Amino acid sequence: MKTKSADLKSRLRALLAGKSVCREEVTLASGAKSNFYVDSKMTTLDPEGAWLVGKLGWELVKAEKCARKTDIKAIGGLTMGADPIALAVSLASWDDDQSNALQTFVVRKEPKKHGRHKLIEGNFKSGQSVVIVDDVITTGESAIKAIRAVEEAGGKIAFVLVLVDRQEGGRENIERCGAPVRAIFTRADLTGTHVQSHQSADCALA
Amino acid sequence: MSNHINQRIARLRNLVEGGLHQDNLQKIVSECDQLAQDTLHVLTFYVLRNLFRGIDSAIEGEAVTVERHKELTRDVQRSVLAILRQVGQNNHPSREELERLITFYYRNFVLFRG
Repeated sequence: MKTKSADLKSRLRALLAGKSVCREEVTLASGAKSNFYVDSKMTTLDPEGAWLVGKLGWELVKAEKCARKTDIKAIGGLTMGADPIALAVSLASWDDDQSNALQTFVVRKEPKKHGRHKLIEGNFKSGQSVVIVDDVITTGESAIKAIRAVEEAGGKIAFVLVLVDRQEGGRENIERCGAPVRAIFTRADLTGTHVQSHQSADCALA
Repeated sequence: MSNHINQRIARLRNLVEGGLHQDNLQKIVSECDQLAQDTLHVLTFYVLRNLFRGIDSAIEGEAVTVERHKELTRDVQRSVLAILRQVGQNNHPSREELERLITFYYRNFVLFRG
């Protein structure tokens, strides 16, 4: 199983390097300037990428469920970076064990203006233990927003699953809110020898 | 204006000074939205809310190249800060000032889209 996970991880790292890692100087959501940007959606919205993220994410969720002896029921995060990852992990969980499959939800950036003013859409129930997901963390602001929304709605955070931790303080900020962070990759993983394509034509900067 | 409102306007000014990037923009939009409802400067804060919402939508979910970000926000920050200084003294900005700000916004968008 370890070899299999390592193999999946290696394939996903290659995909991220080829499709998502950009080296142009950009202004990040946090306002920081950086020449390392991960356009995660190029990978998480790729069929192979989504499949790999789902498999690896589900492995992490299973390991955490076991370690924490927690019955995790659902997965979701702040739209839109989290959405394809949450659904991919949910699909992988269903494929592996239908009786314990994770439900998926989406946290809006702003409450709906009409109707019930919902901030959380989809399959979430108060009292459930859930995984918060984020594609890339820098300051951790998006994950913290999602954590607050879920906690205010009565949910419990089992842990935060991240595709790439940029290692710029986001993990620490999130963990100060009481939620442990588990990242599939760190920035160091992606800037190591595996990264060969720094400026991909696929990389869509706004 | 009450101290409480003045403090909120000062907080908004700090946010704008902090930079027009996504994390700040979402807080700025929310603050303008509430100030439009809580003060007599309804039109000013409504204009600011819509302007910042437009910038936020343009860069939502993306990192933006430094050059493009400069194009999108050129002159806006300075102009908004001048307007907020006036509002902080309980003066209404003139129609010309608001129009100048909106002109900057549309000019920047043309550059940004180009």
